[in-house]
Amino acid sequence: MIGNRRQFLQTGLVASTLAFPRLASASVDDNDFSSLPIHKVVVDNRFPVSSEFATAIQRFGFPTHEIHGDVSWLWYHDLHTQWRRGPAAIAGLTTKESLFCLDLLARDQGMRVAYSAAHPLTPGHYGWVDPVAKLIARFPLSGREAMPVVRYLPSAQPATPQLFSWVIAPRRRPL
Amino acid sequence: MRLPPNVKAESFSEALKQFEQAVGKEWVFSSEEDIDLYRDSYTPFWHEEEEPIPSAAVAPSSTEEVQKVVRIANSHKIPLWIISTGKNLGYGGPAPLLGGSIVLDLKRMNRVLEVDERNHCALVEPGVSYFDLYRYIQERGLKVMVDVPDPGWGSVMGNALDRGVGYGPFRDHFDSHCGLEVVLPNGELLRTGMGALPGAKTWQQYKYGYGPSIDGLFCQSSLGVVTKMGFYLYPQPEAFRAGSVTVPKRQDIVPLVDTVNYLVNSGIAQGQFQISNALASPFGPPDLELANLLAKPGGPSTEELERYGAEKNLGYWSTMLKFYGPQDVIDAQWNYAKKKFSSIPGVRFKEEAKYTFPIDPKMVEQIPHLADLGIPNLSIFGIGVRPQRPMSYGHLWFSPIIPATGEAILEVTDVLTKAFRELGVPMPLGSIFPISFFPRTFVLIFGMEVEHNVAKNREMRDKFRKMVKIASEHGWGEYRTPTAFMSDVMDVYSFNNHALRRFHETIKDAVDPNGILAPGKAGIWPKSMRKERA
Repeated sequence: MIGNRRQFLQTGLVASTLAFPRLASASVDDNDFSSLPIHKVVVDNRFPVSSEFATAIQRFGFPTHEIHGDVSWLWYHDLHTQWRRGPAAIAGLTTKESLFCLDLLARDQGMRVAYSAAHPLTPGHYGWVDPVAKLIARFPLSGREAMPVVRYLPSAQPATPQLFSWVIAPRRRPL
Repeated sequence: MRLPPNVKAESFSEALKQFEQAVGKEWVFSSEEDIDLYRDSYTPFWHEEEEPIPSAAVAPSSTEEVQKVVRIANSHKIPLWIISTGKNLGYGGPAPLLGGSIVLDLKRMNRVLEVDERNHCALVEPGVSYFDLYRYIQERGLKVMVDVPDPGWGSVMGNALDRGVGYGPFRDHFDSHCGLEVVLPNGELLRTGMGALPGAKTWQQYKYGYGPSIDGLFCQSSLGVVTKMGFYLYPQPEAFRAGSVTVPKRQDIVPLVDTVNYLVNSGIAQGQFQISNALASPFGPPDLELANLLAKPGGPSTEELERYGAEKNLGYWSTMLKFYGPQDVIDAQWNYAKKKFSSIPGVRFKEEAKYTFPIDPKMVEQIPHLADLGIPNLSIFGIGVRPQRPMSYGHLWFSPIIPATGEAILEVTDVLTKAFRELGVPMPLGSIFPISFFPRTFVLIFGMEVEHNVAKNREMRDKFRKMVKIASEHGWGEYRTPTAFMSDVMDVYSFNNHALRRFHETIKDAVDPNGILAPGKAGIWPKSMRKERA
């Protein structure tokens, strides 16, 4: 459903966040994003750290949705219906590929990646889980507490696999 | 301000104003931030002046608006690059071939105009994605199946017009179209086939109408803007089943392919199949034993590889056949197929999948390859973290057509493995897997990786061009190619001093004398640009 110019433009934004640094940096300012509550937090159940993250985020009262790599049915059965009614923020801890797909699908609805960060999958080194859950739970931050955005296609090829935590949210400011 | 080639700033500004009057101010995009949306995220021209960036984009919502836009572009001699949804990753995405072109973005035209479940066909606009069409069918409980590609978020029309492919019985998507509506470069509206007969009720049923058939002129084409397109749909089958066939010897590929050809060309098996090397996956490293074999000076002998395959119970080659239809019929077809293969000593069979339609929605997430069942999805992006492969910045598809014979596959494997090795392109065992996307031929699909490195991308482009030439010297030509290589590919289709290209140029000059539609598409340049592009 393409309702207006802004949604339309973002429909065409094929991977621009990863593709064009200028746009990525443009979305660092969290004040660009509206303060809608997070509708779902997506976790990939192929990775043990996901259940740890799901538990952490559930403590803040957020519903989680498990995927097994593929986001097709999350979108088809849930997000598409939800986003037909209007924009709704989502968050997650997934692979880059899942984030890439959700990002593009969200752009059709006028949303953008508001925050993303890469986390190496180093067994036994998951100290980042609780702080990341806490950070996402506080979205959107206010004032100078801008959330970090990294380009979710890493600029250096990682030696270890990575997962990405992220928030996708409606942009407050029209393009 | 970026300008279209050979267009003055005043003329460009005036054209933008006229576009705004035609489609509404909010649907003309010319700011730098807007234009960035039409860059190819897989471009092989990262950080280079050569990257083809458009000067603006315009998004009409109807055929009438498309006509207005085309007429305005014609009056200012501004080139238009046409996209439907712009998700053609690996072949150019939304970006034009010629920098400075205005992107004519059709994704607002996203209506499913008709699905006929009694005669199994549909009529759609350019912005309808596979997901959109599937949802339309599911929500109405219609008993038809769409043939879908990987991934399923692209345009049904755009895919077919680019000669895209899928997995089921109607996997040659342009071949399964029926009827076009086209805005010509002068703004005139044309309908092909029975659409040319006012009042005809058979536009999506009978392709040809009367007189010479011209639909092919609008496929991989720069002769018109297709605004409606009909498609045949497969009747929802009662059942689907798939079975794999594995043979133990390298030379078994010859009877293996011959037998599959017989089964598919006679309609006993339907759907796409591919011939895979059973010894190693193209997506992962070989196990230690195989790695050691492959590392031997001079490489392993055929006997050593066959022994390895036998000891590991892998076989040497494998393929998977697919069957769609009534349960009794497809069971009989699979049984017959096994009988046909039984003349190959050591052949093995495995039941791979069995489903009945309609597919239980609860089962969908458990099905490994949904595209076989006509269910669009994005699972190709979800194959997971692969530590053995570096992160990619995109890829460009090298995809030549080769003969559907075992001998050809062996020859291609030898030639391309040697060529890729000499060019320094990693070519793991098993990474050549011919796929039957089109009847009676195979397509090889090989992704050449893009990097964020000018020198490496230049090197990659050079290698890509060399591969096109090497393939052509053996009679293998690309069926489709990224925009960066369209002229290179057309160059090798050179029979009789490029008679085909010269014919295309004659038509282009007659139909589009100002050369405003997609200059350079498929290597066909308008007269005004031909010399400088030669």
